[in-house]
Amino acid sequence: MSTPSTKIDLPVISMTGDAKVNQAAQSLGKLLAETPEYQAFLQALKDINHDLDVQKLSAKIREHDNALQWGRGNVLEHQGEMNTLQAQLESLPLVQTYHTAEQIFVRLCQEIDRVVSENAGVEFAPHARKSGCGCGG
Amino acid sequence: MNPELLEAARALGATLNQAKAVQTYLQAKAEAEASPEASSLEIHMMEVYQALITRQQAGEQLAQSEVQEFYALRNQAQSHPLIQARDAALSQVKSLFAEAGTEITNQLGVDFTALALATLEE
Repeated sequence: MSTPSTKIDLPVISMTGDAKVNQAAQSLGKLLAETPEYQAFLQALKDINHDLDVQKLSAKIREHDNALQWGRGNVLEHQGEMNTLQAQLESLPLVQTYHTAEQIFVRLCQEIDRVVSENAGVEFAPHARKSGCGCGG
Repeated sequence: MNPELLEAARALGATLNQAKAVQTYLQAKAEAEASPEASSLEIHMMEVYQALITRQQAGEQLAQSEVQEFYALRNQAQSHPLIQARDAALSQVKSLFAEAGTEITNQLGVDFTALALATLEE
């Protein structure tokens, strides 16, 4: 049995400027997340985060960094060790793959930023950057 | 860039352009630029700033009076009504853009703005 349809007169709610902006930004973000560039970047990030060699080297770098922060031991020795460990980390194929994927994705983000800025009439990313001082400026 | 993504980027840009905050800012910016008084004040302030920075970077110790003069000049520029109006409008634009940037970042899980501003190693 079909129920009689009742037509309800809903008020026309116009989207505010900010809601339209948020929706457009959300759509752009979703599409960007589907790109092969982002997927490759994400995969490379996961790979380095799960790699034991990367974890060990990162942990050793953090140890030296902590020692420096707390003023323990010889500064030059810690810095020298950190440089050596950092070089070892950078030479790992997974880390190199990550850097390549990151650069490709960064280029895509910059291209998107250029298109958004051109159409907005105001540079997007430099003005979207959140202030680090917490002063809201 | 794939066409769908390009269109989404254009759409966001166009939507931002139509936002009241951006239109107010563009109008205020044009008015400040069109005012000989406001623009010459800002140009002069930037010239003084550049000269001081150049000397400081060359290792010169700047006199306190010179620095105070610069601050006075900056205050004068910042209190000009057209410059004040433009700067106030720009801060609204920044809020709007930051919100849009956060929406993109939320979809990615990485800071879109930071990536777009990253310096690439060649």
